[in-house]
Amino acid sequence: MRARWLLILIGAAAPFAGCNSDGIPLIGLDDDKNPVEVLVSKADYAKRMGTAVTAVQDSALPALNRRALGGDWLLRTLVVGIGVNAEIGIGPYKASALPKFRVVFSNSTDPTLP
Amino acid sequence: MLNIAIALVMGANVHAGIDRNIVPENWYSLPEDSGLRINEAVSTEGKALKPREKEAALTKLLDNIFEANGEALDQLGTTLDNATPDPRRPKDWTAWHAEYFATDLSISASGLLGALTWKGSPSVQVFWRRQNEARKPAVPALPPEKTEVPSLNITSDMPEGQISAQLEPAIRAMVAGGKINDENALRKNLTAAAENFQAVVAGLEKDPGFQWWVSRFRLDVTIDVSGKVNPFLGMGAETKFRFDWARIQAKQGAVTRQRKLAAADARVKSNLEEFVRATAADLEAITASGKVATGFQMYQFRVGIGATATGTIGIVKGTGSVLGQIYFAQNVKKPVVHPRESVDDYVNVIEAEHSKAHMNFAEANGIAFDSSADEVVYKVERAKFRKGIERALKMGSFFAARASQKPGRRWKVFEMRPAFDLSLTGALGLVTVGGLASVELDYYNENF
Repeated sequence: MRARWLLILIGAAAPFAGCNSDGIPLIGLDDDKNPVEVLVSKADYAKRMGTAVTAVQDSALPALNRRALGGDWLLRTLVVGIGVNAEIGIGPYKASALPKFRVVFSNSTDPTLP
Repeated sequence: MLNIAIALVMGANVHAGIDRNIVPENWYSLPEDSGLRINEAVSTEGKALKPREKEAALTKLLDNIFEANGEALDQLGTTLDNATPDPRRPKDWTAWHAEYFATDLSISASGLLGALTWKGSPSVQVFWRRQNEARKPAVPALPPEKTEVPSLNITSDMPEGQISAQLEPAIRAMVAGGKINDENALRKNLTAAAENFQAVVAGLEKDPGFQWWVSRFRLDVTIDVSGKVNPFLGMGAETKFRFDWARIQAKQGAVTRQRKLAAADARVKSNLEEFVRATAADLEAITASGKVATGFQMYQFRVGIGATATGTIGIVKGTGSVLGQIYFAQNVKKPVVHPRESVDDYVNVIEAEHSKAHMNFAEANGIAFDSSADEVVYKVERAKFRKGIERALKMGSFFAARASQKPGRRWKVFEMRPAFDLSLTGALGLVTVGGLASVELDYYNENF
C-alpha cells in the first residue's frame, strides 16, 4: 500500500522535472490556511489559462448577447472569477492550488472597473 | 493524506528548482516580525542591492509570468461584431466583450514570487486590457468587489428621504434573512448611521488644496440581531453593511450639509479630516516628481483606517479593527503644488491584537505606543512613514518596469496595484500570501 502511494507521488512530481528554468510558481493557502506552493511549466500554464479564458468568453458572451434591451435595469458589466480546475485539464494540481483570474465583460465604450 | 503528500512533493520541486528567497527580504519582511532591531533592519537595506543573479532570477520569473499571461490572453478572439441594432441602446453601447483580465501575484513567507491561487492575499494585482480597445480609466477606477455585502452609495447632498428610500430594500432583505429580530430598531439605527456617515464625508469633500484628494470613503459596519449598528467589523456572524461614497474629481468650495453630531462622532470627524489633510500632504511631498520612470503613473493610494475608543484615527495594522478604507486620487495633469508641512509629526498605527513581540520591539527601539484593552496605538514618525512610501514607490516601479517590458501581442498590462503592510518603523513591505494590506498604490500605464 505504501509503495502505491510512493508511485503516485513520484508520478505527480515527474511532470515538474526539468521545467524549473521556465517554471511559474503558484502560491496560495489551502483550506486550513497553510501555505501551498506548486511549480508549473510556463508553456503548460499559458496553454491551460488560455483554454480557460477562451472557455469563459465562449460561455459568457452568447448568454450576454441573448439579453434583450428594455426594462428598468440595463446590464453593463459582468465580472467572472474563475479558478482553473481539473475539469479543464489541470489534472494533478491540488484543489487549493488552482490559479485564478477574473474577467470583466462590458458592453460600454467607456467602461470602468466595477 | 494524499493531498498533503502531493503538496509536499510539489513543494520539494519548487524548493529544488527555484530560490525561495528570490524577492529581497526587506521588500516583504517587516522588522518587528523578523526579530531584528531597527538598526539591524536598516542595515539590511543593503540587500536591496541584491546579487545580480538574484535580481536576474526575479526579473526572469516576473517576465515569465507576464509572458505566460500574455500568451494565454492572446488566444482570445475578438467578438465585436455582434452589436445590437436596437435603437434604444445607450450612446456608449458596444457589443459585449472581455474588457479586462485581472490576475494576482503573491509572495510567500519565504520570499518566493508566483501567481496567486484561489485563496490568499495578492501582493500585486495586475489588470490587462486589449490595447487597441483601451483608454485611461475615469480617475479613480473602482476596485473589484470581493464581497457581497449590502451597501449604500451616498452623496453629501442626498436628502434624508432619499437615504431612507435607498436603505429600505436592504433593510427588508436583512430582516427577511432572519438574522435581525427588530426591524424598527434596524431602520432607525441604520438611518442614523447613514446620516452620520454623510456628515463625515461632507467634511472630506472640503478641498484642502493639495494635489491628492479623497476620492472614495468606504465604511463597513456590523449589525447584531437586535438591530444595533456597530462601527467595527467583528469576527462573529453579524450582518455586515457597507457605506460607500465616491467622487470622480476634486471640487472647490464643495457644498456640504451640516449636521449636528454627538460629541464622540464629531471628534472622529475632526480627527478624520486631520488624518486626511496630513496624509494628502505626505503624498504630495513624496510624489512631487509625479512620474514613475517606467511609463506607469501612480494615480490612487488606498489606506485602511481605524479609530480608537477616544476617536483617534490611524492606519490599521492586522485584522479585526478596520473602520474603513480611504482612497486618495490625484489630478494627474494638475501642476504640483509646493508641499505644505504637516501639523502632526507622527502617524498612528492601530493594532487590535496585543502582540507582545511588537510591543517589545517598540520598547527596544524607542517607538512610543499607547496600550488599552481594545488596541495598541503605535506612534510612527511621519518622516519615516514618508520614507516608507518612497521605498514602496520604488518597489512598485520594479513591477511596473517589467510589466511595460513584457506585454502580450494584443493584451497588455493596463493597471497594477501593489499592496503593502505597514511596519511600526514606518517601512512598508509587500503583503505576503497570508497577510493583509494596510496600503495600496495604484498605477496606470501611460502608454495605452
